[in-house]
Parts: sequence; C-alpha cells; structure tokens
Amino acid sequence: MIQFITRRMITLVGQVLLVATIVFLMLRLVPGDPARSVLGETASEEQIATMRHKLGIDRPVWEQYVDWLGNAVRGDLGTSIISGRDISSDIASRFGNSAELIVISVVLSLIIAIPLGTIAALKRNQFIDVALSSIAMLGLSLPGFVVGTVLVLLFGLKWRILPQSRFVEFGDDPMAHIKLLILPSITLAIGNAAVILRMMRSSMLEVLRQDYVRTARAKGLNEARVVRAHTLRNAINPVVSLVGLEVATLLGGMVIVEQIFNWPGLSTLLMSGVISRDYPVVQGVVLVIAIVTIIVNVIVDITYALLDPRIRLT
Amino acid sequence: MATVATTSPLAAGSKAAPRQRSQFATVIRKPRVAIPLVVLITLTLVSLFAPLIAPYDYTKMMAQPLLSPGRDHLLGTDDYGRDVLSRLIFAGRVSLGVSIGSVALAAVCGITLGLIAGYFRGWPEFLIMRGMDLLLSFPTIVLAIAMVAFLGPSIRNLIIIIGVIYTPRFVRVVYGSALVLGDADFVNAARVLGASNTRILTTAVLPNVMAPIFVQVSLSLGFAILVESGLSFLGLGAQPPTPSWGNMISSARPFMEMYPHLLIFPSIVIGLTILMLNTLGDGLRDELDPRLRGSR
Repeated sequence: MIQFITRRMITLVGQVLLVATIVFLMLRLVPGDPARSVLGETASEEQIATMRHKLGIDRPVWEQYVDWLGNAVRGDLGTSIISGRDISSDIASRFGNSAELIVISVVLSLIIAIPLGTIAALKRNQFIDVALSSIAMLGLSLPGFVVGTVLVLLFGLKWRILPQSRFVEFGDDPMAHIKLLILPSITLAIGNAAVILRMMRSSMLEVLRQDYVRTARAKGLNEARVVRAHTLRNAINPVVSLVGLEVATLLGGMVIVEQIFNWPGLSTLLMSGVISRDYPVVQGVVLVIAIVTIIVNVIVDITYALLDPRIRLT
Repeated sequence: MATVATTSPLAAGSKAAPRQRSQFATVIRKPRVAIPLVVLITLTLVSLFAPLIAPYDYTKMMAQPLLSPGRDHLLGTDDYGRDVLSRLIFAGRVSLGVSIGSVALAAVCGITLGLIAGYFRGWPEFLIMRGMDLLLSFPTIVLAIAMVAFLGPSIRNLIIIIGVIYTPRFVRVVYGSALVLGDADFVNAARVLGASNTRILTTAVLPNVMAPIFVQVSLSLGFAILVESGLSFLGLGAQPPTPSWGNMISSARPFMEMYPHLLIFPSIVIGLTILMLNTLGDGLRDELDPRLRGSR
C-alpha cells in the first residue's frame, strides 16, 4: 500500500509540473502582443513597454518560465496587472467559499443518488426504475445554468422562499449563510446526482448477476441482508472512482453556478480576470483549479485502493 | 445528420461495410434511436433553412418590446422588441453549428491520433497518450474559459477550443480498440499479404471502431452544446447581436420575473436537444455494442 501511495505521489508531482507548464504557455495563445491586447489600440509605446514589463514578457521565454515555475512552487502567483493585488492571497480568500459549495454538493448528490440508484436496480424495469432513470436522464441533459436560473426564478423571485440577498459569511449569520447555500448547491448536485445514479444502478445490476449473490439468496438470506452485506459494498467501488472524475465536472459547473448566484468563490475572480484581460489572474486561478482536480483524483485513487485490494497489485 | 456525414465516408469501401450497413439499418429502426434521430434532424434542418422558416428578421426591432406569446409573435418578443421564435431558430445555427463543427474536429483529430498511438505504439503512443491525460486534467469549462480569455471570443475560436477539449475522448475510444486490433489475426494476415499501414488502418482497423465512435459523437455533441451554451451564457461565446441559446438565456435573466417566456423557450430547446443527443447516444451504445448494454 505504501508503495502504491508513493508511486501515485511521484506521478502527482510530474502532472502538476506539466499542468503548470501548459498554464504558462497559455499566454502565448494571445494573438499578437498580449500587452497591446490588454491596453487596447490607443495605448502609447511607453504604456505598452510598462505593461510588457509587468507581464514579464520583455524577457527571454526560458527566463520567464523558470521564474514563473519557481515562484508558483513557492505559492507566489504574481500580482494582478489591473488592480496590483497579490493573486495568491486573492485566491486563498475565495478558495474556502468554492470548496464549501463543492463539498456540500458532492455529499448531497451521494445522499440522493446512492439509495435511488440502488432502488432503481432492485426494481429493474418496473415503474419506479423507469421513472428514476428518466428523471436522471433529464438531470443529465439540463445545463446547470438553466436549472440555476429557473431555481432563482421560482424560489427567489416568485415564491420568495429563498431570496437571493447579499453574501453573508457563515461566522456573521450562520442561518442566512446556509439559506444562501441551498440553491447553488442543489443546482450543482443535480447533474452530478444524475450521473452517479446511473452508475450506481448499472453497477448494482452487474453485482446482482454474480454467483455469490445467487448463493446468498439460495441459502435463505432475506433480500435486505443480501443487498446490505453482499452487493452494496461491491457495487459502490465504480461509484467511488466516478466521483473523482465528476469533481472535474463540478469544478467546471461551479464557475457558472457561482456567477448565477453571486457566490464569492474562485470563479468570480476568474471571470473578472477574463473580462478585464488580467492574464496573470486567469493563469493563477486555472492553475489552482487544475491542481485541485489532480489532487482529488489522487485521493480517489488511494481510497479506491483501500476499498478494493485488487487495485493495489496492478 | 451531420454525424453520419462526417464519418460514413471512412466506413465506405471497407471489407466490413456490408455487414455494418445492415447492422446500422436494423439499429436505426429501433424507436429509441429513430425518435431522437428524427427530432435532431428536424432541428438541424430548421437551423439550416432558418432564413426561409423564421417569420421575422432576427435583428429587426419590432414596435413593441417584451410582448407575451401571441398570434403575431408566437413566442413573444424580447427586451429589444425582437421576435423570440426567429431568434431561437437563428440561434440554433450558432449552437448546433459550433457543436457539430467542434465534434467533427475532435473526431478527426482524435481518430487519427488514437489510431497512431494504438497501432504504432512506442514513442508516438507515449507522447499522444500523456498529452491527452494532460488535457483531461483540466475541468472542461475552466479550460474552455481560459482558452477563450487568451484567444478571444469568436465562433471560429469556439469550434477550435471545444474541438481540442473533446479530442481526448475520441483518442481513448479509438486507442483501446486499435491496441487490441493491431495484433488480431486478420490484421496480421493483411500485414503478411503486404498491405501498407495506411491500408490496414483504414480498411481493417477503422471499420471495427466505428460503433463506439458513433456513440461518442452523439454524446460529445450533447456536451459540446452544453459547453457552447455555458460559454455564451457567461458572455464568452457568440457575441450580441448574434443570438445563441446560451446568450438568449442570460439576456432573459433581468426580465424573467415579469416575462418568464424569455427564459422558458430557450431552456426547453437546449434541454430537448441535449436530451435527444443523450438518448441517441445511450440507444446507439446499447444496440451497437452488446458488451456495454446497461452500463452507465
């Protein structure tokens, strides 16, 4: 097991370095001169030169790269070229809000999807299975921004049950904070729950076909015990690895959901960076989100190996 | 539909073609494949012939803004007094056009790279597969937003960006099959007979990976619409006054409490299109590939 974890850690470092390289190279995608692109056509030569210096592109590429990577490793992502603020601390102050949203929606979607997926599999092709599978298909097909906008319209504007007021820190007013959290986390959870439900259903069906389940039934165990003791544990493994993949989807969905609900997380920073062409800010946020994705996947791999000893050997 | 148009020339003329054609002929008659296919073809035709079908000019401002659905304007008018139905029809050109274009790009790049990686092995395999892993380590939308930020928003850039993002899915599908098929007896036989690598790849390997490619095309089209409309919703896709389903929803938001029709109609169209693509993908997978039946 320790060997497995060590090996996974080494690939993690390699992946992070490569991702950082890609994010560095993104600035090269800007057509023409990035400094001119930030400042617009009317900027003077002098302003352009200052901006080129700010962006660091007045130096040779290799020097920029080594500098950027070195600083990033030490947690320094540079300063915003628009506001002059320190990017790392801006990210740090918003990171918690985004993490809160993601964690709650993962938990929410698991609570919804695992029991319902199990029920759908046990009642295969009966009314409840068809109904649940159709709802899951619908949840999979409706984009987050449609679901979110409709929820705001219904709960926020029409019925005024959960009005979308100004953001409140948990410490200042826990109840108000939780009220604000409900709609965005449901919006994020719906798509994720749909994917997990489908996976849980098919994985459960797969396990129910196995010989040892037939043996368990044949020796007279009641159905509840067969499900609890023999199938759930085995059926849940693929779901664990799916959750890892889904976190990437959630981090993407988060960007849109935070915009709809004015949730002050990473994506508000990302979007303001995109709109004002604050390239270092965009690079910083994208790097952090990519690293989180990689780390979550490593954690999931390790959890998976702990749950299923067969994985460690391969 | 375009999915067939992009891929069928590759399958044509192959040894396996007659068998596959009959397989597709049976599959296409199944209701869960036929129904979504008909809906999607209709949507595509409507967008294609938008100027003939749309009742009004999608940029023309009518006398009255924010009209509710009625006889003159079936789906009402928006905040600039433009006909919502006409805008929805023209928006389909952007939304469907971008997703078809980007998935076609992803399929062509992905199939080529996947075949090279799985068939030739060695260092091309290493470079291609690690490169794809790297692309997959970014969340889709975040990568798309970042690339729009650096490249700038335009329809052409959207197609390239979404195409690049979805390439790894096709690479993986093709790579796995090419790996197995590269050592199959009939491929070795073709090699012994002196067939060139290109010939082996196009006539022996490719026809055998068409089924999973069709499934992937269908599912990816759905995701591509999701990404395109998401980016447009954030203001990073098609730029006004060009309508797209995503930017119609975001511009409806300030008025949605009083005029919910502005929000509802584009939402239904997006939801229906993606639902049909997903149903088609599921149906194709179950029918074409019995090994995967019931999975996911």
